[in-house]
Amino acid sequence: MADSRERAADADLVAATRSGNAGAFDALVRRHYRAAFAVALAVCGTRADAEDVCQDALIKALERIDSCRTPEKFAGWLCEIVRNRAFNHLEKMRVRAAEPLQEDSAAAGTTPHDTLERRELGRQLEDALKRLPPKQREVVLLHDLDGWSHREIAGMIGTSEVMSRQHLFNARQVLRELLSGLKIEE
Amino acid sequence: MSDTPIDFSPLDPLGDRRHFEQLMQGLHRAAAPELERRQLSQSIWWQLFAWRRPFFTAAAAALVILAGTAYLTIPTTPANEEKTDNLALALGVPTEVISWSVADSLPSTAQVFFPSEEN
Repeated sequence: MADSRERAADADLVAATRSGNAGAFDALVRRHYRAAFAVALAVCGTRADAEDVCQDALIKALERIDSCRTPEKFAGWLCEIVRNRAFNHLEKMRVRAAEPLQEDSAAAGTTPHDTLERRELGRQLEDALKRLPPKQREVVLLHDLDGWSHREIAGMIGTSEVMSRQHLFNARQVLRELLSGLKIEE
Repeated sequence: MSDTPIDFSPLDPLGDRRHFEQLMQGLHRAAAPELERRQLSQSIWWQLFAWRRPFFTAAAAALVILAGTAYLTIPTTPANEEKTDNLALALGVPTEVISWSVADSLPSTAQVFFPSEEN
């Protein structure tokens, strides 16, 4: 995820965003959207909910950006907000009935068949992920979807690197069993 | 093998570029008021406006201190009363009236209707 140069750039982008620079905010979001989405998906379980949570959390993060004390660790700070908003979202969803999934766009440059296949794979991945404990979901998504290191994951979820590796190992094993026969393993 | 990563590309939020750009547009629309507020807060006028409370608090405190100091230092001595007498005389106020006001006592009816010969 973040080497030292990227973290330094994060600090600059956070400073510019604090001054209301829309371009800096855009760059911050694009850089960390995948990680935010991974955390939201780990908690909510569905892509649509994860996207809603990300939008909500990113606006909250912008409003509270002055309270980000270590801008070079912006990703961890953002993911903390995302996780809290995701739990709030889950709580709300328990109270009211969930709305049906709406996906109205097709991937650019792909055929309808590709898109359908991709959606189906995505849905099966979502279902499989729901069978994992929340921490394992978060670890496997941050590691395999956004490429976080175990040190970064451990720092973010408050565990050791060894436990992070263990979570990843277990999560992958369960997912492989659940998804065996599907076209998702590299 | 559990050492090889799971391919989550079907769930990658950036995989569908068009959909992602739509999300970004929505996000920018929602973020616009906050970004605008932050841009505004960089101007000198906004900074001055933001400091209005501490400024008025300091001004009020200074006023209280000045008023207190003035109250404690202005003497209410006979010399001051003398100054008041001189001013009253200059304005043509009869000396008896001045003496009544300085003594803070009401004159009798006789004193009002038959002022002393000295005046």
